[in-house]
Amino acid sequence: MAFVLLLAIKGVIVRKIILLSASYYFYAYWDYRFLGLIVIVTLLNFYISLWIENTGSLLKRRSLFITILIINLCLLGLFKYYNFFIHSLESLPLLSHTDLTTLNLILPLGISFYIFRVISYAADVYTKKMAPCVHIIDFAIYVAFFPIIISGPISRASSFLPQLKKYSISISTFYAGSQLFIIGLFLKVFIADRLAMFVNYFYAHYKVFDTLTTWLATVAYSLQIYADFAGYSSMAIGMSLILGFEIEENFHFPYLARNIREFWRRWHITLSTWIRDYVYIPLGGNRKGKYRTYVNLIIAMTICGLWHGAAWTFVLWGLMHGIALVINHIYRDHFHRQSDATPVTKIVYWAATFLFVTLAWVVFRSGSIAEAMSIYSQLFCLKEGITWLQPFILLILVAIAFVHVLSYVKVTAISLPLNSWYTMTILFCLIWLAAIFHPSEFQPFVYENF
Amino acid sequence: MPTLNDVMKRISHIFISLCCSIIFIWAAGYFFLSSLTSYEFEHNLHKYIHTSNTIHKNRSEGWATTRVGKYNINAVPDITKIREPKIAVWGDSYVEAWQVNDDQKMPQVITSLLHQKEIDLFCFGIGSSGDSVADYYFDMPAYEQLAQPVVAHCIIITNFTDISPDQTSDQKNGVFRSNPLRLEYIASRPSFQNIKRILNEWGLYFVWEPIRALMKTQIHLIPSIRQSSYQQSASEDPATGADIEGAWAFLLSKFKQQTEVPIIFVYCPAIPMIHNNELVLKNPDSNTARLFNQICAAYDIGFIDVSTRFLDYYKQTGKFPRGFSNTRPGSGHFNAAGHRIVAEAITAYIEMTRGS
Repeated sequence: MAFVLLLAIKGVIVRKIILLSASYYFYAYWDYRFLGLIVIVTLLNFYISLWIENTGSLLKRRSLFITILIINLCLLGLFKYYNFFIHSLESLPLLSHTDLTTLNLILPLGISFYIFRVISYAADVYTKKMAPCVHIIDFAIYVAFFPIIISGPISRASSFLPQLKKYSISISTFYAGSQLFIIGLFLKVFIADRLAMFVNYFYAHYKVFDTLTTWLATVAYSLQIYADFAGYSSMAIGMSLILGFEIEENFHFPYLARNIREFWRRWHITLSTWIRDYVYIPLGGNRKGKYRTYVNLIIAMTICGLWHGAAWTFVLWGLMHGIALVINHIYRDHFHRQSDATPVTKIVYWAATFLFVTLAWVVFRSGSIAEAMSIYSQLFCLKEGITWLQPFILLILVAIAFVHVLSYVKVTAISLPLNSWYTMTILFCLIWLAAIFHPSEFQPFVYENF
Repeated sequence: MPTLNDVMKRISHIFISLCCSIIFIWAAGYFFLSSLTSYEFEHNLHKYIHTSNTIHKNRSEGWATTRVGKYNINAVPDITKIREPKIAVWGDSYVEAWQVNDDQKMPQVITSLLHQKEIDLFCFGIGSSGDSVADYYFDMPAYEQLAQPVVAHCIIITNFTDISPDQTSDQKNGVFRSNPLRLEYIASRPSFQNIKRILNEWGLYFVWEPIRALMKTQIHLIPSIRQSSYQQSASEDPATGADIEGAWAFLLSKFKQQTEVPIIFVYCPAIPMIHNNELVLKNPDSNTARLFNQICAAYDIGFIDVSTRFLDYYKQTGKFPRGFSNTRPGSGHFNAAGHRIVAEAITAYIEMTRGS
């Protein structure tokens, strides 16, 4: 509907108002009470960033930046982490008999994503990497842009805002965007949701299953979260393209990575670059010696884990990846350069990376650290129990592996070139499959919870 | 600026792609989708039943093909043509048994087992998804007439809500109500039958799926409020012991009035089952089963509890009598092993009580 209106109307200002209205309506559709929050965040960041730009004094600039940073983090902390920290404090021996007040708060949709977007904007203005936005409507669109507000990608203002100056939509962007949207829909509805039905049941009753089923569920979750999140990102990027905006790529076959650094250059790319630019580099990056580099990596990845959710499992997951990155650094610096690896060694590197990432997802998915440890013991200590090898799950695993192999050997057809004769047929088939073979229960997007 | 030729090429490309995709999804749907359930009005029974002389494919749970016979009896083309004394097995989707092939359904297995023991009895099943005890009550006289001679009725129940009043009617004809206790007949008519019949004939199952999904979708245009996880749903008041005993006594007395031949309730609980991250081997409703058994005995009605057989099967094989590889283990409908276990239980009971 928004696309049709935008195509029909030529005036740029009117188009922007329609886009902003559509974004606010989309957000209010979920819960209109939090529309006020996103408006407040927009106004605060817009005006304080302008104030930063117009202030000559370095001290005042820094104070304003710290102020807006604290406000943004406090809002995120209040809605997302307050209860988590209260419960964590209550579990400490000294405070175990204390009844600390928790808040009955709903997590506002997309808050982790739009808060990170406005923080990156304020930081870029403060460090003079970009000039502040002077049109409130443009900035409001950037914050609330509906295709990406729920679960990203975490688009940078420096790439998004200039597109609003020369805003145009066309049939060619419509076709390209539709292709991405359809692929994303297929990944989410046909693949991820079906995997979710298997994985969710396993995790609800993991104690009764045997080692083989535990391994299957573990690998299935790796693919579920990939298909779910990459599918959503593809839909978001596709929808943005339909509306005339180019959004940064967020996934690039992450399970082809041969080391953990490469994995984070392929997985949730916008988040990993955000963490790199606004956490890792300000901490010192790799400029202060190797041991400080390792500490910075661990801190950055732990924060990355905490961003995903208010639970110790996410913190542990981030920590695991931080330690893996450190190990990768040490290995690379002292032992072997992967560019010199033989084909067999490359396979070993790939297998080790995939295995680590898959095992780390167990902590990410589990309801508690104790549950994760139980599942690990089921994985590595042979356990008898119920065997559940769901044929469709096995088929999906094989199919996804096959697609990855084709991508690795650079078979062009995998990318569905826009001008090839078979692409449209395949896209129609994907629509049919998503429409016909969808599971009876819709599974929410995994990253919607973050 | 695209020329007319370019536009025509583009439209042709879209049209051909769409046609190719329709052929693909038709083929995929034909193999991987379940048949649509179509109904026809049966004048002898005065109700809508599954369309006779059709084939039903089930793919969503299990992978099986069923031949639907006349009078809503699966795997038997025409019950009126069979002269042997018969046992009628009543049930809902558990007896309908779309999930297993015809020779694996419990009535057919019972017949096979009885014939192996040289007992000249023929067993047939009457079941539709959503049927209740009230439906069996109202249908018994008609089937006794059609399938005569009927020498016994077996009623399959999987839990005690199956025989409790005020359950969801699921658009079926018979309902069991309380306050006052009564069995009512409300004629119902299934919807969209003409469309389903045509789609079934041409194997166009894929057309129905998005229609069904759209009908279930509720769209609201006005922004709303998200419910927090702190809000709890109201719990239903369970029936008191005295209420349910009275209801069962009423039900059984009505069944005794409806037929002169023996009635046997066959209780097939969902054990073993996976619940709360544990394997449950003890039936939580075992006391209720004992109570119901006592009430059955008071009305000279047979009662078979298959729990022990189910548990023995699990202990011997590590497998469940319910569930399929494409569904959750231990849940859903009986698989072939489950049907066989129930059939063996019924056969053993018949063998034991045959003289009486």
